[in-house]
Amino acid sequence: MGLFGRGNPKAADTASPDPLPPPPADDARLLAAEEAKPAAAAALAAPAAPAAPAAPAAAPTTTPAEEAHSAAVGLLGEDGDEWRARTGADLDAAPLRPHRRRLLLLACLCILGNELCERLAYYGVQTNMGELWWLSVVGWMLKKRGGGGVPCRRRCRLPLRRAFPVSRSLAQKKKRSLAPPSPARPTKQTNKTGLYLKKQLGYPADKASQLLQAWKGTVYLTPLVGAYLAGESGEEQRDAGASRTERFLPRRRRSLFVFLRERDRNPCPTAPVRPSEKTLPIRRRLSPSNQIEIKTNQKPKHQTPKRPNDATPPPTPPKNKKQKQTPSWAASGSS
Amino acid sequence: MGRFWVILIFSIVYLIGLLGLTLVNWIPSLAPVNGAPGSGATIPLFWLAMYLMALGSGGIKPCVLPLAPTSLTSAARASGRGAPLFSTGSTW
Repeated sequence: MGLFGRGNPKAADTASPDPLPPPPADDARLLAAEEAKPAAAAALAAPAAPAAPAAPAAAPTTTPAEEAHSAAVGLLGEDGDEWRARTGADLDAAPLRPHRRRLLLLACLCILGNELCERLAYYGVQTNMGELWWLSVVGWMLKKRGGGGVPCRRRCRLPLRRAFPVSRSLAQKKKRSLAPPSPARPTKQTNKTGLYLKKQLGYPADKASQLLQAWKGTVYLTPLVGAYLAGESGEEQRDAGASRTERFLPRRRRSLFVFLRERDRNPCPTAPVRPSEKTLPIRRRLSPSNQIEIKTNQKPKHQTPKRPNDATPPPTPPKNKKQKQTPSWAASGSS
Repeated sequence: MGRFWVILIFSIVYLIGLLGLTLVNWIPSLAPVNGAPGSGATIPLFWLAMYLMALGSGGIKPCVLPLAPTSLTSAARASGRGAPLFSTGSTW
């Protein structure tokens, strides 16, 4: 689990009789809708109120519309919160299920049982089909290096002598002292062992070991197929949702990145994130154009009502980026 | 496909492989006798069953372990499918 757990253990304990809580995307959407409602109502009531006579009709509606727009952007788009919440990839942000400890125990038991059965099956197959398989591999290699069992110059039928030739005097000494070598090759010893492939199916030893190793190689390679098939569904979601800078960071830095971003949005990680704080980018709060306007105390064109949350509402949409959003505000304001 | 369906489908493949391996040695006309295969179809059926087992285990093995931690949260359950395998989230 992550460093900074979002889950409140007390809340998880008390919430056990409850059904499963809704996913956080729906939660955030509900919150956004709840907060946008009174703001929109106030915006609709604002032109009729006598308190703002000088303001044009479209001016008060800019703030909630913009807020709703940025909330929608924060939910749907650029940083993939919705994707993470929907797919459950961000386990720390997702609410923990109530009987987590029992589930964890169950999961551990499943994993251990899986490993136990896998090891049992592996060694069962290994012992019955390929006992002393390595000896047959060694014999095959020696046979290859010995020229396929061709007798050597000194009428020694052992391929080992040819594979690793010793000096002549030493070989002569050994040959005089030792009995004449038996014609049996060392690979023939493996034929005595009871193996399925050799005894039942009648394979020679080297071919049996080759086939068995090929099968083992297939066993080790097929998880790639399964992983590809299982991860295939996540491709489009990942491309749609997650931000690219975050995706190419390594995991620890990525989690640190997420943590810093979330801390920028909301100073307390355990409190629910309010949509206004969440979706208002910190760059706009600290943007130099806003500070300059505060310093020079210029009067904005449109008189905006004071909002307790937002310290610096945008008086005029800046020319560079916010130009695109102006038609949406105007459209929502006129309606 | 999600992890769940991969595990389900490849488990069936694995079971078919196990069944074939059992039947090769159980059916009298196919079973090897005295160090020789019982008929010409014994060895192809044997290796077919073995490679079906390899394929099935390959589908199960990478999906079982990541399925366990995703079952701990409610979001993965409500979404109907787990997180993608090479996920960007913080998993185990």
